[in-house]
Amino acid sequence: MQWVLRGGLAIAVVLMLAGLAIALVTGQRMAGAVSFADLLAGHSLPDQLIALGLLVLAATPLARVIALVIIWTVQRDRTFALLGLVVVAILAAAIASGYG
Amino acid sequence: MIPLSLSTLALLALAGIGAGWLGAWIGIGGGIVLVPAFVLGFGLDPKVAVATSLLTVIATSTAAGSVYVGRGLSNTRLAIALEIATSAGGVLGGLAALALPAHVLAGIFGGVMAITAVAMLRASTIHDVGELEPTTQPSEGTEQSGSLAGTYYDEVRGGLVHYQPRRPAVGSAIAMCAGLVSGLLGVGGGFLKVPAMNLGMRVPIKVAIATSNFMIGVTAAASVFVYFGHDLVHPLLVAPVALGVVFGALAASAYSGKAKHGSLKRVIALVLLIVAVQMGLRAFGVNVGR
Repeated sequence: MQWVLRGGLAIAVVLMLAGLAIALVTGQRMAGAVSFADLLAGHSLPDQLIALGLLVLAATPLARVIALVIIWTVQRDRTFALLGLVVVAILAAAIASGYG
Repeated sequence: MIPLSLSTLALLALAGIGAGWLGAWIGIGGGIVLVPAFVLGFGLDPKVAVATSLLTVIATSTAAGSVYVGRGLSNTRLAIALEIATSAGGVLGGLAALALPAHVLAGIFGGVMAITAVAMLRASTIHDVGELEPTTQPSEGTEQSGSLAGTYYDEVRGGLVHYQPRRPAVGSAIAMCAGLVSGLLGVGGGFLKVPAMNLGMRVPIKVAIATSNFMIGVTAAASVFVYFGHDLVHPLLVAPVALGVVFGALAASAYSGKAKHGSLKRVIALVLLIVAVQMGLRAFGVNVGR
């Protein structure tokens, strides 16, 4: 479990540091909003790197919940595997509906 | 577009270090500190401030979690059970916000938080929850399959602590309130989850903090996609804060084993009072934050 969190954190930190460093070196000093469309359409490199880091960061707690559901299923802890699945469903619905 | 000078970047990173440290220390995301700081100190649009703050909450949660998980401090079963109540509260909060005037809701929550803060302070004498099994050998915490019970190693008390969360209905009700408040204030609500577990369910404070820390990350992660969808993510603005947060949270969680229970409770009560005042001001039409 710990490697999920450490790995996710390390990748996110490296991506955000790289993005920030490139922005400083190239003199990009305006922080603007970035959408998913911008990321795919080749926005500025620093913004893309940092946004990717944020997505990796967001994926780590979600991965932790999914890992728990799998662990509890293997341990035959049915009650909590089911509760975990409900949380996964709620999160999926929140992500899909675009309403946090 | 927001211009970023070197000094602005440095101040953002400093704000992040402070928020990450406080957040990991007492199990909150730090939004109640960051949002007003962004709006009042950096002149950010309140919506961007809320989005930036919640994005960095994931950094607090993941950084502190990477330390807590190894020690078995967080109770993952308790986190998942309460996460359902919190999500339901979030939905109810959306409905309540439509049905009641915002200043009425703010007044109610301000009152609830002030009462919780006082309860937290008064309870500081009964901080030794659970059964202590004295041992000098530090060991990893455990959870009991199919129940909310668990154990954790407490450095300060010098032994393995066995605990059994009680009154799940009370804990769930307060966790639901945390969801309600986060919808209203635009913050994570971790400051209510810790008292919900500690006061409401008699969970040892360090377990409550680590468990809340896990929960706020899960809740905030779902909102990342929402913020990208609404053009509220400013990567160059988030990066310095998030990096500062990682640094602050790692430092605080490494030290957390030695923290005294009484001081933790007093800091949490103080934070609750700050939010209560913020809510009270909002009830009278003064907005700090969103």
